[in-house]
Amino acid sequence: MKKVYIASTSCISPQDSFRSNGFFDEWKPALTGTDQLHAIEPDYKSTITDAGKRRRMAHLIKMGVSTSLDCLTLADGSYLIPDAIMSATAMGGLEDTEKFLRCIIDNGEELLNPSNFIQSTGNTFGGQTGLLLGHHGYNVTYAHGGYSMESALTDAMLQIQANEINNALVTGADEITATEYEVMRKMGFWRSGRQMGEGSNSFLLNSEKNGSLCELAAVNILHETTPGQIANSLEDLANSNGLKATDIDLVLTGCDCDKAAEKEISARFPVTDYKQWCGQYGTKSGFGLWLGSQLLSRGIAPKGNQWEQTQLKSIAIYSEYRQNDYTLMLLKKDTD
Amino acid sequence: MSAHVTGIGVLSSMGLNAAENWESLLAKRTGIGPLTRLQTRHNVPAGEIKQTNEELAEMLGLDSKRTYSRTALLGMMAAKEAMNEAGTDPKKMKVALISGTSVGGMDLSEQYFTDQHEGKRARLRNLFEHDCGASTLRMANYLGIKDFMTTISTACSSSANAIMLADRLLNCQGFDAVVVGGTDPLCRFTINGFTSLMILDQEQCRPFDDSRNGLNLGEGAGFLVLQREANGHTPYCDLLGYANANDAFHQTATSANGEGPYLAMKGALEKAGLQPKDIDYVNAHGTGTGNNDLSESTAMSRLFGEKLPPFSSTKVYTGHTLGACGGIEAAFCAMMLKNDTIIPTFNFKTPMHELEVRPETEVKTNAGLKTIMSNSFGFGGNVSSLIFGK
Repeated sequence: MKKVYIASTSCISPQDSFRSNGFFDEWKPALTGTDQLHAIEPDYKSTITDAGKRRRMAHLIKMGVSTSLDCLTLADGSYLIPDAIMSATAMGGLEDTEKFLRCIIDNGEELLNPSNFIQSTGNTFGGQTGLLLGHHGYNVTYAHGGYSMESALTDAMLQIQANEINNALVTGADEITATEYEVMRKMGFWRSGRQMGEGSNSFLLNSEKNGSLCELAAVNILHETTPGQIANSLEDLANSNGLKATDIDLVLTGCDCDKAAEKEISARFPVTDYKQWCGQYGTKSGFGLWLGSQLLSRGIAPKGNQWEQTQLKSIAIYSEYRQNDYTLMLLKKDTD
Repeated sequence: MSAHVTGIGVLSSMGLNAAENWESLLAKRTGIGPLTRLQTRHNVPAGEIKQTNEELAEMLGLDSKRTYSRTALLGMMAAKEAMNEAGTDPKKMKVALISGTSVGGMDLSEQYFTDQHEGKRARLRNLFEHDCGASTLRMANYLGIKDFMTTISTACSSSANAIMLADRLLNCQGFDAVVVGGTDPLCRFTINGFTSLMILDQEQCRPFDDSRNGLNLGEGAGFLVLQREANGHTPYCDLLGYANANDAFHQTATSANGEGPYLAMKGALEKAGLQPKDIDYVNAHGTGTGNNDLSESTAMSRLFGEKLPPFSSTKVYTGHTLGACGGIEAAFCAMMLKNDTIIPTFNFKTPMHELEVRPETEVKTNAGLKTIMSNSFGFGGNVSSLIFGK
């Protein structure tokens, strides 16, 4: 079975993360005093050069297309055309969905704007990326709540491991909308210090090790698990990938509901909460994966409230979806 | 080794199980008619399932006080039928569920916004089913599937793409069975969406006819059980090949030369190790829009040459069920192979003036079917082709 490497990444997030080392220059404290972490958006002129197309794209699509194209940009400015494009979004074009729904209901099913309908479907940014690249290969979008990102990564890994393709672009994106925020507020979701976030994270996965950031060794999705088994699952993950539990130098966590989980993991592994920088959204684990791959390739890890140069072997990413449902991803720095 | 289709389940406006659907197909009896259940000002024919959500929930033995989206209810019923037939027991087997849907819990979201607009108490729980994955989670919970589940949303090719992932999971991850297909309900969102795109026919759709003037929407669900080992069952057929390609032409239209559809069909043949001449029948996407049918016919002509294999569109019976159509039509293909019978289209009189191709118009028994192809094309250029064979 072929190994899968992360050849390049691109990230739009509430942090200074797009085409920038800014995030890693100095330690960024968690943003406080707000329960909405909006993405720091790049100047889209630099990513989507056609003004007409740019104007017609919704917020989510601009983010998704931008990190996708950026991730594929070669040194000479041209794009690498990947064998396959896998996209992930928990909610799809939520803002356009809502606009179109309100238009239907408020206008009595008249005066409808088709562009809201077109941009509402989940596969819009994946389709648009294919369209802009003139890419005729495999193109699929996963929309499975908090597991969307992991589903897209799994599909890409299966095809690379089976030697069906050599590389794949995997992008996960979700956006903040006022209604979703408000609905969650009414449920008291933000009361306990949670913050809503948004962003887009792209990865070029490759069977080629040369020049890669790290190896993506595993993506595991676990449903209806027994409480208190997370640390053991992490150990199993290490063992089944030729590592010892102590080889996991850091676990990046994105907990939604379960403070007990963080406590359980931190009792056995060094832990850093990745969600403090990106907030809560369906494909947030993409941010965790971006952060993990960057730390491994840069050879830095959090120490106190600092980034510290250090030798790293592997990083795991733990992300919760709902109670007792979680995902684990494992990144390895190939040293051989 | 190719995957066996060991069970099927179908729900459409023609009937609530595979047998009812097959009987209706053989009789060339369409499920498309005037809307009576769904409240909308658009007076368009559609393939509507007449049971309400409450009635479906009762048939499934669900607690009527809990909230289920129509997407989840339709999916549960079809997936359950397929699992019963295949004898799939998630307690004893490693089972995955992959579902394709385009609108998720939209019927409940519509209810929420309608209640809010009318100043009624809008129930928040109606919004919790909104995302596509929520319907799959509900289904998995009902079906007792825990090992793996995911949801694909590539508009009208969602469930065809789900079937591809199912085969890859069977190849690599040691699953005993994958329950795979798609589900989509009729809702005001899609009726208004397709109205805004001006591609809904006000009359019954007429795929591949020169007078065609758009599609009819439909609702339903279609699921298969795919297994490596048939375990004593006589499978309907095997999944021999598949491919997904991107037309990369336009967000909602297909290219004139049918590049994406051509590449998908060609890729599926390559994956199956077959030649165009090996295909005995094509279940076309055949929506009845001016753009789709011409583009698809052009692609078929490019691939098959002057003499096309027999083909038809079963959307004249079900309407276009969007995310579900790949699953429903895969189940139809399984039944056609098992019964060695081609289900024709109807409403066909005059070939397209740009390209003269003629779909089958009569039921053909003892058709000599060994290998057949099923096409599904979606918004965003995501087009897919599956090949099933005996």
